[in-house]
Amino acid sequence: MKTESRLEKLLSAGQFVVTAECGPPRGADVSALENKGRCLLGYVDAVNVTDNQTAIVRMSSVAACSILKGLGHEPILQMVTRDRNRIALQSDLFGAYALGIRNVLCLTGDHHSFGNQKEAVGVFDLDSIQLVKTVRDMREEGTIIGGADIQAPPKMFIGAAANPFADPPEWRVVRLAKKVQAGADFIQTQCIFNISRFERFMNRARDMGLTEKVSILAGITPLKSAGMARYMSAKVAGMEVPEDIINRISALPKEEQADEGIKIAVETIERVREIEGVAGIHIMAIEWEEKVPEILGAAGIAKRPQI
Amino acid sequence: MPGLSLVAIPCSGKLEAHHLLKTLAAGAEGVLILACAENACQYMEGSKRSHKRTDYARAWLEKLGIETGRLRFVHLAPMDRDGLEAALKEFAIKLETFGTTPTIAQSQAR
Amino acid sequence: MIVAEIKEIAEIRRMIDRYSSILVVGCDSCVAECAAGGNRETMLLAAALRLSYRKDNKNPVITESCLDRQCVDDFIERIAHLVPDHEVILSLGCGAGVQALARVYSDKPIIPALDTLFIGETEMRGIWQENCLGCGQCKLGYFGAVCPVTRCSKKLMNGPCGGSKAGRCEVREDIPCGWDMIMRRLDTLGELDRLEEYVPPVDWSTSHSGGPRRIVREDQKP
Repeated sequence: MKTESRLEKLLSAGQFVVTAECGPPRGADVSALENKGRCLLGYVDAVNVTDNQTAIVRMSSVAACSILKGLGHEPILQMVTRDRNRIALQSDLFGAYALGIRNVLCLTGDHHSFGNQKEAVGVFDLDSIQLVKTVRDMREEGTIIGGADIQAPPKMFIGAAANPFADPPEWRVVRLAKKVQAGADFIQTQCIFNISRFERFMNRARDMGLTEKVSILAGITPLKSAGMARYMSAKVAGMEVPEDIINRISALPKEEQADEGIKIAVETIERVREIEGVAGIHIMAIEWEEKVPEILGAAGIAKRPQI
Repeated sequence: MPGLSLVAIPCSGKLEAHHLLKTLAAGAEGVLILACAENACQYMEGSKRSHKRTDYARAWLEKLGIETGRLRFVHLAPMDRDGLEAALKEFAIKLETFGTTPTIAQSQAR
Repeated sequence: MIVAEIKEIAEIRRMIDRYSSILVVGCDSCVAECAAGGNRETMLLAAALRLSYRKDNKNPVITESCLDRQCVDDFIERIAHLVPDHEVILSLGCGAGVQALARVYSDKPIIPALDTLFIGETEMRGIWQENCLGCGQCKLGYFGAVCPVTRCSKKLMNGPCGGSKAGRCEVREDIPCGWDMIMRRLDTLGELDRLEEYVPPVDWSTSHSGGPRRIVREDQKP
């Protein structure tokens, strides 16, 4: 074990893990956060707490992680490099660890032009790979950037994101390799609709020996409607929703589309489980967290190991 | 024709936006640009360019709150006397509807 | 060169309306190249101001002039004979020119007529592209002469983000993905191997982040 992370423990024991996403509220609304947290309790092995996702101002990820930990969750602190320089990022890592958080997912973050503070300055002092290495060096060397010693260094279990559906396709696995080399322990992928493209990605990752070094969790997002499918396909960066999926869900009347979306999600889970090298799934049911238990149940993975 | 000033240039493409604004600023009520047809430009691109630059000058007039119709761009064959007379008459009538812009002090007209 | 754009006439008017004599000064270097503040644009702006003031029944004195370069003392001094007769200088120089004028004509208000935007190149007549933000540690040699700091919206140093789609940046469709450009260039040059190495965090201390920069060359002083 590199860390005290419960997620690491489960992955090392060969468990097929389930992580889910939890977005903090657009304010200091603790009860809203706790309600979301309660939906997921017992159904997931760890929960990602997003960091001002899509550059919309929300409760800080560190604070939200701490609150969810209080409920009994194993939080994964998401950190984007868009909003904070290396001083603030390293400082937040110290603080998060002090509050008992043991997992961190290092991301660059959606550009701030997407959010509700378009006039802000984009920091981008570090990129996601440099952040991964920074967290790794904290754990392995006990130093911050520049080499100064840390007083009680955080030992975080390190995650990064991978997008098998962004361009250029040849580059995606090379970028994954760079993240693994920098120190990533686990990977969460962008949500999968094009399963064959994901399979090709996984084949390449295996050929490069990456699945031995890193645990890859397949991203799953249930579609609520045909409208959502079309929106994601057209407007969300790095997202691929194949025509046949859009057609399948559009073919149904509005009231039946949500159930079909869940069906598609369950089928996707069942298919990706079979792909060699997939160590678990990461469910992103944004503002639909209450459906997660149902989806996991239908896929037969609702019962989580208690360790 | 009273109040008419004729400026001959080798090609309408010689015209730039600042010429048009300067002319209006110097007291002209309007500028009628006579250009050869796009496919008849001896210098190939000239009348196309002058058209774009006239549009740019009009955009300035719009921001200034001045009637964009004070700049008119007309394609005309060089020997078309009747066409020229018609264009001038039409433009003069249009300008009258705008009213006169007050003349500015001589020292300003450069 | 430095690329700028002319401000809205309404904003310019707001800034100079309190003055009754205006010296409009252009610059025939960078801002002439990007058609924002050169001799022609100076004539156009002066004419536009005359028309604008005429509409409001005002009649300030407006004088035009154009300098070869507005950021260099020797050139700036050439309008010295005009300055005393005017209450304000309206500069069509870039930010550097405006401030240089203010240093030389220290008792005169200097108002900018342009918004200075970036260091860039003329791709062709009418198209100017930002390509350098003066980080002070040029790494272009490692990235196929495509700048990851400037051409990538997120200043990434280790490859594209997940938002890169069909060679386009997630921010806007008309922005090419800087990393897509870097990879294509290196591929053409047969140097893709340069990208396999980890690029550590950038030292921003030589950029403006470290404070405004100044260079002193004793060998160059008169």
